[in-house]
Amino acid sequence: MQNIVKHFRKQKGMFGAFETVKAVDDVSFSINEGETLGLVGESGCGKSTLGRIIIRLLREDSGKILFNGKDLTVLNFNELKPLRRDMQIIFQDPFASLNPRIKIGPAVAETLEILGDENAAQKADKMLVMVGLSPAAGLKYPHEFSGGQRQRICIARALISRPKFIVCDEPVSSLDVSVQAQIINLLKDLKEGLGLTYLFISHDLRVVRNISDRVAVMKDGKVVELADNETIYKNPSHEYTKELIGAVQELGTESNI
Amino acid sequence: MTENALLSIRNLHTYFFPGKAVGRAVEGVSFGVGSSESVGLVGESGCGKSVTALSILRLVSRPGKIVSGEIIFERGGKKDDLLLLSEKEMAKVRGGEISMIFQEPFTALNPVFRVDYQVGESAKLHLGIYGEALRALVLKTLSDAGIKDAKRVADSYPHELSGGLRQRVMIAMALISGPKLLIADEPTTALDVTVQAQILDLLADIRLKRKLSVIMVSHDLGIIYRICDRVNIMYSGRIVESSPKEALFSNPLHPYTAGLLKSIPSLSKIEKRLPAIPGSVPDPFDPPAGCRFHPRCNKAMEICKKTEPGETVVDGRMVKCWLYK
Repeated sequence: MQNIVKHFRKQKGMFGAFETVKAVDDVSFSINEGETLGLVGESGCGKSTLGRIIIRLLREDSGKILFNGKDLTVLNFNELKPLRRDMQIIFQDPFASLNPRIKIGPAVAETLEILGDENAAQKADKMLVMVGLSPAAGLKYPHEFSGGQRQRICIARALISRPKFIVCDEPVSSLDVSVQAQIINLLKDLKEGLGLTYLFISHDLRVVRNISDRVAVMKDGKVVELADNETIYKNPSHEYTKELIGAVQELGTESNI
Repeated sequence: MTENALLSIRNLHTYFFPGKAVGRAVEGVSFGVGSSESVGLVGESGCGKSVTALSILRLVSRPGKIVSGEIIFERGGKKDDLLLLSEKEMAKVRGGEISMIFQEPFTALNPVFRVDYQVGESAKLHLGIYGEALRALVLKTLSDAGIKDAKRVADSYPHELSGGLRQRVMIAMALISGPKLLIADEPTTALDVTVQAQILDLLADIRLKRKLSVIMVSHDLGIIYRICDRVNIMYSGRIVESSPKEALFSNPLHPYTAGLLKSIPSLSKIEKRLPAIPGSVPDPFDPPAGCRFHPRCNKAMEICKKTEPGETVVDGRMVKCWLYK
C-alpha cells in the first residue's frame, strides 16, 4: 500500500461574464494515508471546488490526481466506477443531500446496491448503528430527523462501501453548535475505527484545529501555506494565515482550559 | 434588570399558530437594555432569539403572534409600551428610534434601487430631509460605516458590492436617522471571518461614538464575547441564564451554558474528545415536560423532569435551574 494517497496539480477556470475566474490555480499537495488534512480558506478561495475535483464531481482543466498510484484524471466513467467505492464525500447541507422521497434505509444502502452487493440492506442497518442511530431509523424519511441526525445518515451513506478516503466538505457548518461537537467526535471515532483518510474542508478554524493533522490554507485558488496543525496555529509563516488566525475570537475561557 | 433601562421587555410571549398546533417560540422572556449598553441574546436554532428580536419591533408575521407581555421603551422623556402603540406611532419607532440589521445583507437590500436611495429613505421618513442635505447625510453615514469610497458606493446597486460592503450599507441604513437602539440579528454569520472581525470592530466603534445601545442576537459565542457587556442565554423560548460577560464565560451557571462553552473546539489546544451535549434542541411544538433542558442535562434531578424552575438570583446574575434553588 503506497504511503502517498494522492498528489496533484491542476488549474481550473470558471467563466464569469467576460472574464476567467481561476477557481483553482495550480494547486499541488499530497495527502498521506491515515491522516486528516484540513483545508481552510474563506468563501471563493476554491476549497470546495478542489474537493469536488478530487472526488470527480467536477473536471479539472489540467493536472493530475494520483490515488494510490493511479491517475484519476485519465480514467473514463467505467474505469472510475470501481474506484468510486474507495472515495466518498460528505456535504455541508444534510437537508439538500438526502432525497426527501427515499426512506433512510434504502438511501444508505444505495451505493452498495449499485455495486451489486446483495447484503446491502443489512449492511445499511449496521452502518446506522455505527453512526449512533437505530436500525429502525431506516424505515423513516429524512424530514423526520434533526440536522445532526441527517448528517449522521449522510456519514453512514458515505461509509457503507468502506471507502479509504473521504472528502468532508463543511460537514458541521450548518449544524447547531451543541451538535457540531457530537459530529466531530463521530468523525474522529470512525476514522480510527475504520482506518480512514480525510480531506476536511472548512472555513471554521476552530473545527479544523481540533480534527486535522496537517492544514493547508487557500486563498484565491492557491495554497498559500501547508504545515502541521501546531505550526499553522501557533507559528504561521504566511501573512494571510496570520490574518485568518488573528481574526478568530479568543473566548474568555480559553486561557482557563 | 435595570430600572432605568432604555428598553425593558417584561414577560413576553410570542407564539406560532399554524393550524391547530401551537409553537411557543418565546415564553416569558424578560430582559432589559440600558443606555449605551450592549446585550447579547444567545442560543441555537429554535430557541426563540430571532423571534424575540422581531417582537420588539412588532415585525412578527402570521402565523406568529405576540400573545402577551410589555416592551417598555423610553421615548422623548417618557416610557411607552411598544406593544400598545398604534401602527402609525410604531412606524416612527422602526428605523427612527430603534433600528435592525439582519443576517443576509443581500436579501435585506432592494436589488433595483441604488444604495443612495435606500440609505436615504429612512432619513426622508424620519428626519424629513431631502435633496442636497439628504445626499450629504447619506455620504457621511456611509463613511461612518467605514466605507472609504462613499460616493462610488452610494451610486452603486447592491449586486455590485461585496458581502462586507453590503453589510456596511445595511448598517448605514440603520444608523442614518440616529436611533438609540440597534438590534443586530446574526449580522456577521454570512460573512467571512476576516470581514466579520472588521464589521464587529465597526459596531464597537459606532457604539462608542453614537452612545448606541445594542441587542446582538447570535449563536456565535465568539462574537458575543467580543461585543457584549451582558449576555442572555436562550433555550427553548426562555432565558435560562443572564450574566455580565466575563462572569458568564469564566463561570457559567446553567448546565446548558457550561455544556455549550465546553463543546466549542479551542484554538489553543486540541481536545481528543470534545465534551458534547447529547441529544438535540427541543421542538417548539412538542417540548419536554418540566425543565426543557432536562433530557440533555447531566445534572438532571427528579424535580427537573416535572416542574420548570423559576428565576434564582446568584451574585447579581439570573439563572433558571433547580441546582440553585
